[in-house]
Amino acid sequence: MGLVTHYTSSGLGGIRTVGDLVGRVQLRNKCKISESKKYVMDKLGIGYDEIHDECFMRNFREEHGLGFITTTGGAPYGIEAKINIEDILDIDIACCNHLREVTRLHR
Amino acid sequence: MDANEQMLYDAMISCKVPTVMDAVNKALDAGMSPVAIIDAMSAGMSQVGILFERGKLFLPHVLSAAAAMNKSMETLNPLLTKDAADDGQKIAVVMGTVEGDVHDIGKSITSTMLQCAGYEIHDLGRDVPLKNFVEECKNGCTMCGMSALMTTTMTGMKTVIDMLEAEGIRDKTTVLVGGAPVTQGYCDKIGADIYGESASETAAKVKAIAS
Amino acid sequence: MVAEYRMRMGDGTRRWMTKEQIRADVEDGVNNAVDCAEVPALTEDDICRIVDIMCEKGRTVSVEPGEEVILTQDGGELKLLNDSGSSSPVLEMSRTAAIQVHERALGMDTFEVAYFDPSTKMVKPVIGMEMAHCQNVMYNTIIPMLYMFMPNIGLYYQPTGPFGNPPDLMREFKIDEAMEAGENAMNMMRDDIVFIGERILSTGMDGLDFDTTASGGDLDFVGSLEAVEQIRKNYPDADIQMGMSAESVLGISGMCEYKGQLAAGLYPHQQVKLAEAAGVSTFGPVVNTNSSMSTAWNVARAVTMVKECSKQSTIPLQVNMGMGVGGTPMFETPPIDAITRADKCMIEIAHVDGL
Repeated sequence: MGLVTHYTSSGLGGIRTVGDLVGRVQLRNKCKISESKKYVMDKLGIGYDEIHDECFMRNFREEHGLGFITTTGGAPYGIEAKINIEDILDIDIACCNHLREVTRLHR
Repeated sequence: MDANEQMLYDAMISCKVPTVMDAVNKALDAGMSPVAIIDAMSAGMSQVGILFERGKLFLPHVLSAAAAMNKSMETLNPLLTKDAADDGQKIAVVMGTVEGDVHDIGKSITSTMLQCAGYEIHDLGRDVPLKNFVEECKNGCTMCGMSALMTTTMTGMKTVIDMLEAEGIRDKTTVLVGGAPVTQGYCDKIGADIYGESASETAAKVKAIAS
Repeated sequence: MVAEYRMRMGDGTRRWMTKEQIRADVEDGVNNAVDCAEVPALTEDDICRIVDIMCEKGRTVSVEPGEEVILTQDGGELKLLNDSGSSSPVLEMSRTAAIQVHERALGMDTFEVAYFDPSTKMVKPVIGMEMAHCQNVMYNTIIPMLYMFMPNIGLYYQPTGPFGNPPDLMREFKIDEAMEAGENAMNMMRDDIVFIGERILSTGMDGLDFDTTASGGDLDFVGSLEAVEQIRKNYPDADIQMGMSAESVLGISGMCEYKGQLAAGLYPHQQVKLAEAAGVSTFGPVVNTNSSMSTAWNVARAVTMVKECSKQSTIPLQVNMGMGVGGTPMFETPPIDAITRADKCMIEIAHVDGL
């Protein structure tokens, strides 16, 4: 029951910024936080300040279809956003592979 | 601690039955009283419990130390005076995880440590109906130990205390409480007597209150 | 008049302490960690930093911009919906909605989805329903989603399971029977973990999270490690997170080994090496809070142990900072002054990768 507190004190911000992207890279590559952030910065082509900035990342995520907090009609969300995340981070996401397998869609 | 007491203490920590028996015989030959020998071994047993919790010793070691203590008592009991033997009469403790809760490892370890310390343990297991604690107290247990791992089940501890009051046996019963969400503050709030942060701390507080 | 600072105790109650008292508690906490876990003490700089953080005037403190780490929630939607070992708000919403709340409103970076009674033995009979739930979640969320369950070997002992309870058998001096019961329970638990894990991963879930690993001691820990190793064979890319239940592994068997290493008595910096060997992606160390000591003492102690774990670990660390662990007070709604100070110390001094 202290989630908001942890977030305001030390959380990266999830889909407000790059938290989900860094988290995904960290889990997949088993790498430390600084390496995970660098990987994401390199793949997104943006800097250290930008990846932590909610304002910058809101626009970036919308532009690249990576999903964000508030809904606007037609913007990629859920698995749609994850397919775009696969491309931009150059990683495989299990549910996207599963979707392609069961629907015979190709990447 | 003098040299003989240290020898007995160290022997208990070795958790080896032959080493403990050897130490007991040497202590008797040196003229140490049986009561003093038992006290020194008890101190060693307490330390065994602490070392177990710190991961330096494991449960089979603890039981081996307990077995060593039991074997020593076979030698020492006949040597105790009648009064000392009566003083050594075991205090009965009912232990259990309260109703609705199925976590029991901390409770089991506390039961083990109290048993090793010479208490007669009536361990009712986990998810124990609250009235069962009270029944055991009515049937001779003078200590009631309750464990809970959930904030929703720990409230059962207060209910048991109220039931002991209603039966008129609360003042004859020492109530021990423990478990992850339980704190000293909670123990004080519900009117329990002893809270232990760990199994060894609980056992130490029980021994202090009983002596 | 000597200045006093607002401090919390490990049970959440408030107390006023001078800087000297806080410093003394920090040093004592560090020494306690060194004594228990046999890890190096914090440096003088680290100690001063902890004291400064504890003495900051603000209600909350935070890390500097750019130093934020990954935040995750093990126990998932349960924290909003229902009792998961502690009383919950019992909000009336679907499981998927509860998960989306965490993603969209509570700033989670990754998340763990769980069944209402998340022990291995309880999840196995409802695996079909859980697989369907996972598919639903994966289509409707963006952040990485792991499926959480607790190994919980205790449920494999009588009366809930088929095998005798080793501590109870040992108390009756039935040592051989206790060892056999423990080993049988460990094997059954391991097989059930693999059963659940592989089915969940087949739905396209990002990964698995083993929560409160080693709650049943060394047998629980080794069974979980063996399960991870087996799951990895068929799912080499799965994200597998392992969170512990206590700071040291209880030696219920005392003889249980994983890859030649005795599992009993291990502390976080040692536990993580076994987790790495098994193929775990992220490790969540635990340091228990002592409810009778101050937050300064508890945080110093926790940071000392986790710092060494972080140094030894080649995989990311997501330290457990929930109720009663990581220096956080043992209270259902832990005070925000204590939480934020614990977070800041853990990130700045122990260099963890997430919470």
